[in-house]
Amino acid sequence: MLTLPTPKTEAWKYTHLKRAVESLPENTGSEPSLRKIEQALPIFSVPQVVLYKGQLLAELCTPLPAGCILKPVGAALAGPTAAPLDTPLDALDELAIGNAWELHFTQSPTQPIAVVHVLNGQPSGLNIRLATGVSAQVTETHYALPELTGWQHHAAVVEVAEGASLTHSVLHLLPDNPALILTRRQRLNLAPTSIYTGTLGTTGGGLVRSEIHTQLSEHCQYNLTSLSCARAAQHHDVTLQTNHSGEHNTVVIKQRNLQLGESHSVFQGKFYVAAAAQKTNAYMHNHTLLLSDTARTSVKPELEIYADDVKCSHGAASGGLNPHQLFYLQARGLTEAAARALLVQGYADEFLAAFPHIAKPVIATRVAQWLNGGSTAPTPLTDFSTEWLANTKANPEVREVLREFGDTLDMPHYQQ
Amino acid sequence: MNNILEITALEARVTEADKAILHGVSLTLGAGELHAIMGPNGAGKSTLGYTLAGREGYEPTGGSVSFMGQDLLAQEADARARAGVFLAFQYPVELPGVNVATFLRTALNAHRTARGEAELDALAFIKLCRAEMAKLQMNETFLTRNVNVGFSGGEKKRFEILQMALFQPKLAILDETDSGLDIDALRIVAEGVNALRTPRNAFLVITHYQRLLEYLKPTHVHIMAHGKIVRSGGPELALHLEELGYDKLLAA
Repeated sequence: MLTLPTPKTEAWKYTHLKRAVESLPENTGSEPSLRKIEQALPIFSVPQVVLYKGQLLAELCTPLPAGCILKPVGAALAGPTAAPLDTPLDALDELAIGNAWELHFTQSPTQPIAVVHVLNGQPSGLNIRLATGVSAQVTETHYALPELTGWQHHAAVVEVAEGASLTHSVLHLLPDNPALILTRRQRLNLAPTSIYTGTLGTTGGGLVRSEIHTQLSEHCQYNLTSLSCARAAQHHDVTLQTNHSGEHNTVVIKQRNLQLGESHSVFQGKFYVAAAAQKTNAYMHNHTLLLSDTARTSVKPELEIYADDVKCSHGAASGGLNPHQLFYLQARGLTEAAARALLVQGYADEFLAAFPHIAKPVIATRVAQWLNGGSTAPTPLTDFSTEWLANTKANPEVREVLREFGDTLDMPHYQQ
Repeated sequence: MNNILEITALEARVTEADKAILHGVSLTLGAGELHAIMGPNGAGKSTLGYTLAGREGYEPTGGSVSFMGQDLLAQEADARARAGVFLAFQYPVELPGVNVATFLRTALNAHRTARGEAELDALAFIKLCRAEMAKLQMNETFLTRNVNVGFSGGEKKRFEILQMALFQPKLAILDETDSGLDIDALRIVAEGVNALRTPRNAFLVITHYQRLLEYLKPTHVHIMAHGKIVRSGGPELALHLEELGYDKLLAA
């Protein structure tokens, strides 16, 4: 029997999983049809894998490129190389055994891979392994139909071998459903000289907790950019444990929370730097924009350093919109509401710029919906960057202008 | 002659400092005029600009301001802007993540809608923007940058003038637009301002230096001290000031 964590456990001080799970209503939703899932899925123009209830939805999948092998994990989810986490909650990951898959890259694929996890309220998992020197890009989207209630735990082990490079985007694009809980734990093992460029995007749900436990060897580059947009009483938690065991690792972690309503964001980030991890260069920053008087944030950065020649720091800022910025826009004729919308969109766009090409439009659309009060209408503020370019590049007159501009009309945040 | 702006015995306080700054400023700007306001630090020049633009925390406590025959002080800052009041900031504000093109088009269309004109589509906007940017010798990659983020002092001021050129205000208030500019940038900015002067608009130019006025050729020069206009005259007043300094001029 699994014992759910409560705030008595330090790592769960700000996120009461037990209470949230126990207060879930009974899931009365009927089994969705394949057609319904298909209609609701985000669209990717790259090889795609769709996983549901531990099964591959073959009708919705497209062939994977050479060197990319997908297989069920079966009984040993974490595998022998996954070190146990220093937390009493490892049992959570055991939940996913039997439903998990592994994506193994033996050579660099020619295209990015999109993986869609259709949530069903049962534990799930996906491991990603990159062989030596392989370079790959994977976007994982956790998606749920609006009527789904329940708690899903997702476990992941990501292993990047020596000299390999993974661009990994994880999107939690959940419906605004307070009775939906998603916990995701990722163990990330980086071999010497490997590179991990991660992006994490979270919108919707009732409670979402994303954990990444990173083990750095030496000469690794680890970048993580995470954007969370919460509204109503949504609770978004990002908890990161980063262990530096060897020399010359470079780490940059940036978290941004945009919050409306009574939402609560949690950021816990820890750098553990072992005595052998000399020349570590690690930075972590959390920025929270509280857009209502009742939104809350809990931030806990931690540094535990045993090496004496390291550069290790953290920063945090939280508050509302800057009145100087608001006045500047109002003095240019924008109403207060339009000024606020433009500024908030700007804060989102700064982080969206870090997302890989295939993930960007999907997360950008959801952020726009978040900003528009959950409606599905597109925000007029993004049309210049996306729709306009898409619609008018076919126009010969526009092409003429674009040629003169070079690429500069492609807004930076939509450039790959 | 039609008056663009009539300021009558304007008093204002800065709420954060809880301090009265303007003590009865009276000033009339006719169409086609360019008024320069000079004065020592702390005289209330910028406060006058902010009060006219409607900045929060700059609270009028007496007097009146009529803009194109309307009570300016009764309107919110954004309504004043759309009605044709433009404040070029002394310290333009950085807007992280807010793309210049999106910002300009959003603001321009707010002005156009207020004037009963159709919104510009993206192509028409780009063409208009390019033409104005060329006049200010601005690189077109500007459009893809974020508003004022990483701009040099000169770029920020040029960008203020670009906005003024696009919005075509009836009253432009330039708050120390010349500060932080090198000689070439000063000339470009001044030429940009001169190009916008018409017999139907008016300029209020706050400056410390005669050099900008050499380019701008003001119709009127005022000296402000202790929250009041203490001297008014023609362009010769600025020259006189340059010679004597505030202490001697005000004592004289």
